[in-house]
Amino acid sequence: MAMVLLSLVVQPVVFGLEGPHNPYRETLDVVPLPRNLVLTTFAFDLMSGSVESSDIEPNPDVLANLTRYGLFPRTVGQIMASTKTREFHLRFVQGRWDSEEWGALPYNGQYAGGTGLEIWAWINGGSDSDQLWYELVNALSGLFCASLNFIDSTRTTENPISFKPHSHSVDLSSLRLFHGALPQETVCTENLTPFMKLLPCKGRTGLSSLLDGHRVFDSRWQSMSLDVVPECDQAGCSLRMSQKVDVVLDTLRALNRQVNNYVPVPVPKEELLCDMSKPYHSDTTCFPWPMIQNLKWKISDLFGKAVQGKCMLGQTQKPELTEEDYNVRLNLTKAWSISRTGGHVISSFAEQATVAIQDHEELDLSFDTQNASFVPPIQSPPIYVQRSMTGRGQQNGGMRTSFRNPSLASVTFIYFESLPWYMKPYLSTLKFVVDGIETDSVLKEINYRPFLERVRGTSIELTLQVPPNTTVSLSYDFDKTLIYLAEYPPDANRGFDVPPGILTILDKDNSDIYTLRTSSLLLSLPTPDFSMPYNVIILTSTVMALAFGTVFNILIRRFVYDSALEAEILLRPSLKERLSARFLRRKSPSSRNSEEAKKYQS
Amino acid sequence: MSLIALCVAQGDQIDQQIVQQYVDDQRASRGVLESKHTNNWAVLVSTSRFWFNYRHLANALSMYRTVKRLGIPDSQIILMLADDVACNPRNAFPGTVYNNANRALDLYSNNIEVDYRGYEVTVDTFLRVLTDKVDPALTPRSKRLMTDQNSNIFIYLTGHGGNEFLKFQDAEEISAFDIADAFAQMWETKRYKEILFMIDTCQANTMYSKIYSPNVIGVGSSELDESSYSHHADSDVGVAVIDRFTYYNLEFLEKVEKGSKLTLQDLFDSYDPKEIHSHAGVRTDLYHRNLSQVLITDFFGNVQPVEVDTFDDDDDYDK
Repeated sequence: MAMVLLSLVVQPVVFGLEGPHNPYRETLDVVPLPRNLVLTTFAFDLMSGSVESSDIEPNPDVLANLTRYGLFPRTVGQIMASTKTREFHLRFVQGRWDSEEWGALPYNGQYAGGTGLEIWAWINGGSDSDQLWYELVNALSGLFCASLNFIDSTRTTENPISFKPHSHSVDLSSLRLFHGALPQETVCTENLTPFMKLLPCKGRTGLSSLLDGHRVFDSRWQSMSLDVVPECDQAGCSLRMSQKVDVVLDTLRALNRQVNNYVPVPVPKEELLCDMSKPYHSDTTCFPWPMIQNLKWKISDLFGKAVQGKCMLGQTQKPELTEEDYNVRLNLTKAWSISRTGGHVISSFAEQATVAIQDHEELDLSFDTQNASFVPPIQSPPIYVQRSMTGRGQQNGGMRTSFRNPSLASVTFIYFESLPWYMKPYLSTLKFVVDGIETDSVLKEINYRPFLERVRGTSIELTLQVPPNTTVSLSYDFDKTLIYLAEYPPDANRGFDVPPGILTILDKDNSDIYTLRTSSLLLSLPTPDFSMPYNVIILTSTVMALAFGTVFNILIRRFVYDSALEAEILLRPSLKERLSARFLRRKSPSSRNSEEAKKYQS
Repeated sequence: MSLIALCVAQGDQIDQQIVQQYVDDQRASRGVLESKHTNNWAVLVSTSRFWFNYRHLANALSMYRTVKRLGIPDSQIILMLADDVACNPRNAFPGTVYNNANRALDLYSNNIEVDYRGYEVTVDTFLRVLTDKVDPALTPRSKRLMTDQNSNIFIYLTGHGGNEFLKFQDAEEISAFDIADAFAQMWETKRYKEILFMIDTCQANTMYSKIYSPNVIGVGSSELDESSYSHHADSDVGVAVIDRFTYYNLEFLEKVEKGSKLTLQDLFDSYDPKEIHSHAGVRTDLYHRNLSQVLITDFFGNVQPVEVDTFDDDDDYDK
């Protein structure tokens, strides 16, 4: 076993790759954000072994014969092979990315998703692709402990133009793209656990040892993404898996955790930091100051522990480490000073430092500043977008999205919305308002697929061009539907989640340079009184029983003339006579009908 | 004989004698008295949704922790949680579930596998898991109960219930008859050797009263017309964190280690109605073994077959 491990480290050529490529690379980027927040971006890149192909331009379909996985997880590879998936992209996101405060998304949004779960995949199965898509999401639901199996035809969109496959050069005509989103899905430790188990070191050593569900899910925004794409060169094709975990953590909250373990205790009066510029500031009124300037925190404060040594799997031993071999990269300003325990500094400038992890040594980095608001410049995103619902009542509503272009150049983008089938938009009410004037010039193209009740939802893709320094507001109306009783979820009065809108900015070559998602929305549909089925059944059964019983009696009951019985009845004194006999003490009367009765008595 | 027993079982009254006769016949024909079980499975279900039912999820997670600690691997545990409390925005301790106000033990560790969660936990799904009536192309193996005729299964249900029913997610119910029929199907398709069925709800003992399959032990937390109560609340979490019956079960099970010789009879003897505030019941008429000879680890732990190596010299392996 030890011999095999040694050969893995010394001869990466076992994996069939050209040159000294590491099949596994992990990096962490740390960037302080305004208001005492910090963005930590973990990236894990893994390559499988390759499948040789003699074609000049190898077709990724040869990956169906992949057998040498190396460190690449076999489960993922086999799921892809059995469902004929060329590539797939999976996103788990919770929280909200504040574009105004934090700027552009990491990696230009390429690896960010919408709230909840999102998955899209290119499947090369021809006419069977629908069934293969369902098999893919079901298999991944078991692998990631997520309810991906709920992605059925009502939540799937086919071939949205917003997404481009990784392998551009390959013939795409046989491929079908499927996209599904589950905005109401929660992301928790049971999703993080299998995510980490796909990595070679499985969260024991290396940067993945920092990932702890108690910290990752206690953040302002977190995104876990998994992208598996084929990579082909002249020699052959292999699979590349990129896993990213982006977390925006609150450093004050993390530091406070050590004091109180999160027990919510009010801050004592002496420790309150107040904004004294407010007119109402006094001894009894305090507007909390948004941040503190004097800040000192460590990686182990944020994540609960330091980096537990280096992940040795898939790494070559290099005598000289260059900047490309970094494990931790810090983007800072002059106001921040860093100290470390363990690790090996590769480069250190005022604005950026790179550190490599040493084997068997813990790495902890300490960040110290007197001016915490002096953070690296925020890169403004090319566009800001806000989406909300308008209207009131349970019959119809409206959707309003506003796009703001802050730059001096016009921006062209595709805005993709996938609405559930019970939300029925009227495309005739689609309106664009720029500076208070209704205009159509921003709209370049519409790709619209209307809904089919209970089969698929609406998918709208608008290609828009927003002029520089302008805000465009898009709105349309929709109808709400009263759905069948069985289609309501158990907590129906909460509402139904509408998937986020996906904005993809293209450049002149039609390749996407920035991707952004709006927030998901909560649609309140008219909900019935769920006790009514019981009430109706009881009422109907009662009415039926009474009606049936009465009619049955009338039809079936026969009245039989019984002479002996009639005589007995006639002989009985009437009530009046009995009472008068009792109270007036007359002798017991005989029935006035006694003569008649005697007629029958024979 | 079996058909008659099944028909009769659907009626209101189960003729105890017929059931007993059927059970004895089945056991004899299967020849189960001789062999020992070879693998252990656990199906742990919490059927309640919403934040104030935190304790039901804590119940199920406590049992999950116990069976994992005693050796059952994740691949042999089906954990069904109807809601997510760990990452719930109302949770003051994110990513954490506690079953005690002392907050000494975190049930939501970094190594948790929830097989069915949220809206997936329905009566239909639960019965399909038990009977394995799933679409094999679409259901991953981690979501299937892949038991065979030598498996011992520990089935634990918790939530809100009543007289012969258990509520799933505030929207539907499973009845004692459904469970009885599911177990009967499992027996017919040879999917278990023995089942320990434990249920912690109000009037729980009624839920196992309709079972008519062999080798099932039923354990319930309260009698007919009795409620089961929560044990205590945590003022920082804000809700009750554990139920009484499960709490006292855990108190006993904390003494059990992997090689423990403690028996089910010891566990059932430890139930004290004055502490549990309800009368826990045990049904053993379908079970053939003496409870004082059944180890706790027969259901809560895992069989790990060990062969004693008598070779002194490693070279002997080449022979």
